[in-house]
Amino acid sequence: MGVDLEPVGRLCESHVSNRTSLVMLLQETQDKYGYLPREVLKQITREIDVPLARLYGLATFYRSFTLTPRGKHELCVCTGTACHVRGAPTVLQHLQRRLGVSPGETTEDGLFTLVTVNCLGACALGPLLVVDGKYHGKITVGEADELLSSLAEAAQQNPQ
Amino acid sequence: MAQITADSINITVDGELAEAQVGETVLTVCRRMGKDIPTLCHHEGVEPYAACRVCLVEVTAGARQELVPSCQYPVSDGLVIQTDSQAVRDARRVVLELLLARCPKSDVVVDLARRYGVTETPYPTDDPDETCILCGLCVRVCEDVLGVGAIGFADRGIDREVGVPFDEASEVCIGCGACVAVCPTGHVCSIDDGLVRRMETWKTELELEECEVCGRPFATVKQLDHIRGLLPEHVPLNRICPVCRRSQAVQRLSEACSIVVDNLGATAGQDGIENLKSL
Repeated sequence: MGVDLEPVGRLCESHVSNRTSLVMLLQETQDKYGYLPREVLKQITREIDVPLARLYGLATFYRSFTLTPRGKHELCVCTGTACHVRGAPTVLQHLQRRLGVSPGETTEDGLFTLVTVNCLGACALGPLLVVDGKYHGKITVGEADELLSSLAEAAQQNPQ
Repeated sequence: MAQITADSINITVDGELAEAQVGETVLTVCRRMGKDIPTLCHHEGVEPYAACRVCLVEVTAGARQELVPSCQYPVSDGLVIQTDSQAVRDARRVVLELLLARCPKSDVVVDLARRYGVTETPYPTDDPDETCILCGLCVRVCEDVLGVGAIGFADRGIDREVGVPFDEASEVCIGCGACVAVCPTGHVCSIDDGLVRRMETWKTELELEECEVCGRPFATVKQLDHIRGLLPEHVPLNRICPVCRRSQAVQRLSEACSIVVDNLGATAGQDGIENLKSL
């Protein structure tokens, strides 16, 4: 697979090989690649003296890590209690239907990844939709639709 | 907390006064006294992990009374321990009910549960064929003792499982079988088939090496290479199976003995030799 392993060395250099900074290393790796490619994890075990099993354990333990490529945009629906009672399920169902994916999956065109989170601690803003790290509070199905459309449009006009 | 200066301290176990050393665990002291405390995730070769919770005991330190895993709890001066109180038995029963729900077919779990009067569980079973209690002994022995780290935990919560990364054959497993040896429930298994050792649980196959003397396959090539790497360079590694190594040792020993006997014969005379031989 065509994953560029060149930046791995630099990423590893800034971290001492101990348990505590491994999470930071994985975070930076994910920032760089958008996800944690298998080849990159294997390269890390070659760079620093850490077993692959431990990296894999961390990468599967934390929800924020992903071993599969993500879409260009991440749509994160908070399904915590407060958001739930304020209508998060409706928003989520709508996004699922429109994108044709379940939470955790990426659309076929690689544009959107839909994920859920159990609580973001911003309950007063519920229901909450986070698009690429930007919080959209008190979201309605209509507003979510508009957001989606504008993102899709922007991607169409400006394909990579 | 008072600073303990002396190395030796006094604790009370089931009303009996006992002496313990600073740094020892409650389990170590209790077992020395002959107390029957069950364990599943405990192994003397690795650090305590307190995962299985069947070794729970009741400790009273000052006014506080609590259930603690004895395998991990360090002794302190004046500690009062109950290893078989009602609270301890009740707690172990709950733990065993949970373990029984997870591994209903594991002989070890079933037998231990029966010892505490637990024959059925109120909790639902996910997979009736499950035999892993997630004690992590295999993971710890592989990484902490052997320094290999071929296996580990993946996922978390109800999805937590033990296995090889990406669920594919391990590149680093040396097939030593330490994980098989320490697994308390027999979940981890391997099969030697001709010149191949199949680490069934880890989906990994390794080449076996034949004994230089008897020709029987006895250890994996990777395992012997691993040992080679640990030994100082000037120490030779004989690729010989344990049985042949032992018979060679016996041979050497008996040769050494006959020399001793011959030497003795020169000083003790024929009677001395006869006496020695009759031993």
